[in-house]
Amino acid sequence: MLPKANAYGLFRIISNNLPKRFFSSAAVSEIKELELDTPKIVNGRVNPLTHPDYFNVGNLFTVRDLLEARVHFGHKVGSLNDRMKPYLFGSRLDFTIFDLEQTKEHLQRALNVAAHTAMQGGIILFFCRSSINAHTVEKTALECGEFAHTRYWRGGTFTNSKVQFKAVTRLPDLCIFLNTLNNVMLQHTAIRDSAKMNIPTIGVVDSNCSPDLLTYVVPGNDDSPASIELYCKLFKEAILRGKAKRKEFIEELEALEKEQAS
Amino acid sequence: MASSRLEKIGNIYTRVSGLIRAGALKWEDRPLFYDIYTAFPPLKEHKYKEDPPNIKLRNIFYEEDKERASKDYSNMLAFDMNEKKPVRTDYVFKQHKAFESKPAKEESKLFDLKNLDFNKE
Repeated sequence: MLPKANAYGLFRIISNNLPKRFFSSAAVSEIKELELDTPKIVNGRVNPLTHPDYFNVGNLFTVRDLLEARVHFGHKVGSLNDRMKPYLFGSRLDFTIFDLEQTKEHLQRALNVAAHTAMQGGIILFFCRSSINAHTVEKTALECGEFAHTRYWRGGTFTNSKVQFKAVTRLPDLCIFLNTLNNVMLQHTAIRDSAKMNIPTIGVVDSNCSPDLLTYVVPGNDDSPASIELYCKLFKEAILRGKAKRKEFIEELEALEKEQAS
Repeated sequence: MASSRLEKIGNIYTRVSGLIRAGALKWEDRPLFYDIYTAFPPLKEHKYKEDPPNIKLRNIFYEEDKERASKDYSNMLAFDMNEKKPVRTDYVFKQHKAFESKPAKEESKLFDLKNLDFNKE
């Protein structure tokens, strides 16, 4: 699926210097048992994956920011997808209202994952099919050096990429859906295709959307430009923080190599 | 690279774990998300088309709603909900709270909205 040399993350290169118990072939079960409460320090460096909030995404936003960006507004009760009920605070005069405490937790987890993916050199692809927000999303992707797809989704872009692009194609390592429906109120086909191609997905799901096949779910309003602008701002900041760390690590590695050579 | 395209069974993590366990995928070739997912799994995992939880949606009502429903407030002007300063309705409900225990005939005077001077407050 992915060309091998590109698929390697940076931290894996660094991890070659770490004791084998972190990433050895027998480590599948060991990794699961890593305790995330206390960051593990090896060779004077914290393993980012053992730190609960390595990129400090916890300080990026507050519940009040979400409220002011109208993230709590859902659709009318009539269009509610029953699977979204656990994320709702209730209904106010027939309009569903999201529980922003839950949204906060889920959004922080999603931002953390985006930052880690960026640090490991992953390609991130933003999606949004709502026409009023498409420009915001494309601009965000440009600003953080990633990619966006806000137009009609041609089937097979992921699943048949080798034929469509006439070459072996590197697929994204993370897909962020700022709106999980396509323009005919069905789930975006790219969500299914990402699941098929083993690409993790982050999706903002509104009260009329289904959380099916999404890896990381962010319950919240996906229609208001104010909300989309907030999500875009947060994801951009998280990705830039991940990239800054990546640059730092690469410089450190290069300095180390120079030292060893001389 | 080996992979499974049966997206409805399990999730991306369980499918890749299965391939690693079966030896179809080498540990070194694991996808980039694998370590991240192991350290930070989703807070809630959704199975494909699972049954919706049996939760009753609660209605959100406030104390002021009784007052809103009992009288015609249509003559009050529209206001910006993002405004942080107290709005006209806040003033009315504050008055209402203060005179809650007073007899009913005083109440009608209290809510004579046409003669209310909002700018005073």
